[in-house]
Amino acid sequence: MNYQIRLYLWTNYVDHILFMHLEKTKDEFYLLRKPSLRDYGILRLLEASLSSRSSQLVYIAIVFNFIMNGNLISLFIVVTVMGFSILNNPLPSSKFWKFLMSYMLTIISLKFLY
Amino acid sequence: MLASRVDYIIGIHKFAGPASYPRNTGIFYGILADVLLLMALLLHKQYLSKIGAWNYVKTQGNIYKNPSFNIESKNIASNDGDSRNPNQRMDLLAQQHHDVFIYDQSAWYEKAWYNVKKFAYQIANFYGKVLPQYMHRKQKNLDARHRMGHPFITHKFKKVKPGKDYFTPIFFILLLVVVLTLIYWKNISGEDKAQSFGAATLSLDRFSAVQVITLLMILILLLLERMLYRARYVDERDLIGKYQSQPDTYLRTGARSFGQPNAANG
Repeated sequence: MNYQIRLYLWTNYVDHILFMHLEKTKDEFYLLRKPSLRDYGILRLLEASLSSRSSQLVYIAIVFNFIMNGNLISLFIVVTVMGFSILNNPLPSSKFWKFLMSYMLTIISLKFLY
Repeated sequence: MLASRVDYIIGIHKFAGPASYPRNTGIFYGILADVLLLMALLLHKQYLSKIGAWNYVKTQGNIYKNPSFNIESKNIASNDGDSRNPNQRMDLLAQQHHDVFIYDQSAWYEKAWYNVKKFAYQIANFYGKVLPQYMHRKQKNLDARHRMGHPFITHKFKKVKPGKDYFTPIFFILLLVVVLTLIYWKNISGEDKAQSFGAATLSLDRFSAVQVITLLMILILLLLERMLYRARYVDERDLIGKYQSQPDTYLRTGARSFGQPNAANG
């Protein structure tokens, strides 16, 4: 059962690039290690599959935020994401995510202060 | 009442006390959704930095500058003037000539006007990103007027529409929406028909104005989808292929009839 769940996560959800790493050989060389399923436990794979799908989680959280507080502040985020971020190819730049994070921090602190 | 409160429209309001609604929810439930979003963002940041996309991936403003779309020359080492086709080379020369001789020597208001025009052009081109780009350069010519002479055309976002026709799923989803709108209108909108028509006329089989407008908009959406799929933008420059290499068949069948013999023969 455990193996079945791990295999399912490994084949469907986990981004294998997360487990790529260099490994030291006997001859003091570093070789790129291809990740394999047997090295990782179920919790590690659950965490990795969550973080592999983090962009979808972000979009879900944005929609959830808009459902919970339907106001101009959360509308701005939705419009930014729909009008800019998901159109960006192949992925939105880190600048955009930085901007969104600082925006959220500002909003949370403003709500806290008011 | 709540819709006219500015603090609730903006979103920064009291979570406790007499001015709050719902009364005394508390700061925890008030900012829960925001905190969840922030946590999701932080998780995403951690993922991006783990796979190296946070620090080492720089995306270009123009998608055709991204390596995956740079179809004309896959090899970066030979990405100079020699690897371009004649039309691209002429564009490059014209651009350099403009930069060196015209732009630098023009007055400030001309420079400003040039930049304004460039900005407007960038905004107009932005919507090209909405359409899919992972298509083969050589596409069947769907335009019946030119299909005999040019069976194939080169891909350009203005010209080639999404290849796959999603008419059936879109139609049935919209049909479902229409049915739901007809039957469960009260549940969707919360509109009380008896109230809006007046208590005296309890004709519940009538449609309200908003309902009719909604149905009309759904129909317009359906028509618009068809129109966007069918209608295609073709101008003379597309056939000459300003930024693209043309298949040999095209040059042989003659660009002469389209009014630019030199560009085609050169």
